[in-house]
Amino acid sequence: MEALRVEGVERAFGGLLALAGVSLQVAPGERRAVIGPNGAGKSTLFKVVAGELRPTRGRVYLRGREVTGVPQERVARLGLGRTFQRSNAFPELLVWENVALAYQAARGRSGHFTGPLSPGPEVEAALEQVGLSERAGVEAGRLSHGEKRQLEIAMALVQSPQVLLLDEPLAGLSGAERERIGELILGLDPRMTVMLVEHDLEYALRFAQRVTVLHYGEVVAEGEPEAIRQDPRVQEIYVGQGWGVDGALQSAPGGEVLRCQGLSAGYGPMRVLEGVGLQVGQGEVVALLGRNGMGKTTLLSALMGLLPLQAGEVYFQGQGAGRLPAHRRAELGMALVPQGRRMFEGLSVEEELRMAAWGQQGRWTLERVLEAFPRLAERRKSPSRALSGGEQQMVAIARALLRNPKLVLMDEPTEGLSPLMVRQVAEVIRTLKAEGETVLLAEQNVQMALAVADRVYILEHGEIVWEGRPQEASGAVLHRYLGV
Amino acid sequence: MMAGLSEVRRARGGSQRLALRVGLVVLWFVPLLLGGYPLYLATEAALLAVAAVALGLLLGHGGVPSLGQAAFLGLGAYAVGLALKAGLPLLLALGLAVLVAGLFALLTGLLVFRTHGIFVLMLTLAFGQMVYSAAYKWNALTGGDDGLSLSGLSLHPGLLHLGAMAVLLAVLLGLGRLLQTPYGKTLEAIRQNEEKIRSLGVPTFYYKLSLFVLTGALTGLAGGGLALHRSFISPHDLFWLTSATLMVMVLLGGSRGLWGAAFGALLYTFVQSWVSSFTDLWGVFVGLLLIGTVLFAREGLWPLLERRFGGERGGA
Repeated sequence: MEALRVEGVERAFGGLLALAGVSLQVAPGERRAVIGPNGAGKSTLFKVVAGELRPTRGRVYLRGREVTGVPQERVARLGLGRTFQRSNAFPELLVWENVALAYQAARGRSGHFTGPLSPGPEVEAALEQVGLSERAGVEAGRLSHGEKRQLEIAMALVQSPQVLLLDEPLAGLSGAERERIGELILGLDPRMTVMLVEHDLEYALRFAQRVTVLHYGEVVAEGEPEAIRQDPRVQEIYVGQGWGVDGALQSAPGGEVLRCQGLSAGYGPMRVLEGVGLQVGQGEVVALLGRNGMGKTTLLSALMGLLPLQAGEVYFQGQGAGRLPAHRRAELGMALVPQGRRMFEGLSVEEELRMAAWGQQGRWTLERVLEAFPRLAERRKSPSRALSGGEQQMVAIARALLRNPKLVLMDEPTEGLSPLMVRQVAEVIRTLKAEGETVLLAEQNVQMALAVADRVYILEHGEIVWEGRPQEASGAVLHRYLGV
Repeated sequence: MMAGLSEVRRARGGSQRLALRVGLVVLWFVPLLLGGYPLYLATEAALLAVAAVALGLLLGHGGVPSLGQAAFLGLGAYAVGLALKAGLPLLLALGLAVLVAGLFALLTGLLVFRTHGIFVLMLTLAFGQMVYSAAYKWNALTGGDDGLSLSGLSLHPGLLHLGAMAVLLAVLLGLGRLLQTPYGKTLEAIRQNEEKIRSLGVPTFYYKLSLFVLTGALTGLAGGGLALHRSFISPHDLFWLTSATLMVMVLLGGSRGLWGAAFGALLYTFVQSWVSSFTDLWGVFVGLLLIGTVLFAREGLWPLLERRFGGERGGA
């Protein structure tokens, strides 16, 4: 009997089909990795399996027992453990109390009120196993990022689940913490069935006995890690074909617009970027590639001044700008198109654009923008929230252009878009290029980025690990992402 | 291994915190020697404190914002009043108050906890107002606007004070102990991260419901006590303003750790009586007090005192 069986599961969010008929079977004691680009449906799959989301269609069986539509607390009691991508457990309770509560919950004893909650040997063992014994008496909210992950895993382990789902346990960790959690997961009890979602493919392929590849909510491949590594379909998902590098549009870089040197930045004591240096020339489209959690958004935020530099300097048109606040950098001519588009509630396309254009003078006017993006001209009276994802992205880019910037920073404009819309966005960036705009583009969609870029940087664990021309980038990306 | 640094720190802060609590209780007993109006106020404060502590548990530990506590107070009061009029013994009447209020909490809770956040607040408010309207309109049973007089009853004020204090202390100690149990800690966990505790296998609905019933029943008991104490029940005390007053008491004293709510009730009752002796603008005064508390003592005044007296952090 399988530990877990998923049969033709579909899950729709409004019009978006996040899971489009996923089936998979996991044997008891198996190590399974689920991989796929952003928005492939990995987290949704976990949520459906765990009972947090009800599937629109299809069935889920846990150890032979149907659990479709069973609420998550019941599924947990049936032997499913789970760690969250982002969790701070119960920050005001002590570390051992967090683990003890998880233990009592698994035994169905959360409701006991005859004696105080106490740390038993199982709780101590779980803390010992993840290496948190020293921190047992600390409030969970005071733990470091990595320690919170350790706690999260301890809470799952103390429940001794038969099936354990780990949702990106390594995301946002670096160095020693990454090493430690990675080893911890590899050393889990072999009798436990473990399913892992992870963007670090190298790690995921090392961990797994079998790998399931999701893409746009469908299983596109399944097999042993080596086979998956070599599978042309998988390589295509991560690098892509049929886009071709557009040589004709290569623009010769003019003078330097943006340069940063030795840039380090992070959140609080956590350092995400370490000594990053890059350069963007006039009229260039520069792509910044990297997987989730590698520091792309952090780098754009630091360049834009939304995040203070911990070290290094940013030069904009030759002047040091690293200490200027974000609005001063915007006045100098930097514009950020943030991730996630962010439309205003209740405004039409034209109103959104008029608001952005208000008080601005320069080559980009409302009329020019509508001319460059005929799609938006057609939709000018529609409420911006009613647009498709790709159209919203156009509005977001158009808003940035109306500030008449000297440099446009784009943060994952294709995130969550369907292939057709990704092409629309690529067209928009080509249009910008033809107009002579300068763009720094952070992307996970390698194929799209390579198709429009003049130069490419690859960011990994907060450092630039590769720099070059798009023609040569495919190989580098394959090597970096899949270890081929 | 578990007796880490924080345990040591807790022990050190613990003795000072204990002294502070003893001080509060002693202060509460002083009016017993004075008699008269101070004694009346102290008993009133003790009974309101029971309701405030229940709300503190509900709000500060369970994370359930209720604006319908007046209904439990009122149900308890009418239960005691009607039971006594029917000739039932006093203790049975008080037991009935607990039962009626608890039952109402159970029935409304079944609906309330289908929702979250602000809707919980609105639903408790709505149910509370329904009870108010019923009490106001149902002349035959409640006497309507004229209220229900228990003038035939003559309990010694000192005895009533001792009884109220006994209940308050039992509630404080009992609930304080409850907070240390797996059940209590699970409630805290629900407030902090409901999704997470559900994913660990805890059916949170029943935990919130049981907490609502428990605190509702205790509030009913407080209401019954108030009926005895005031020997009069007015439907106007069931208006939602009473719920808001309890909320203010809790926020003034501090919603975490139970003792803050009791302190808030004592402070509110006496300051109100003092301020009302020279001005009608009590509302303005309470507004200023609340603004000051929220701005300068976010966690409430009691944790501020605890820190001033060297204790570590306000805990259970």
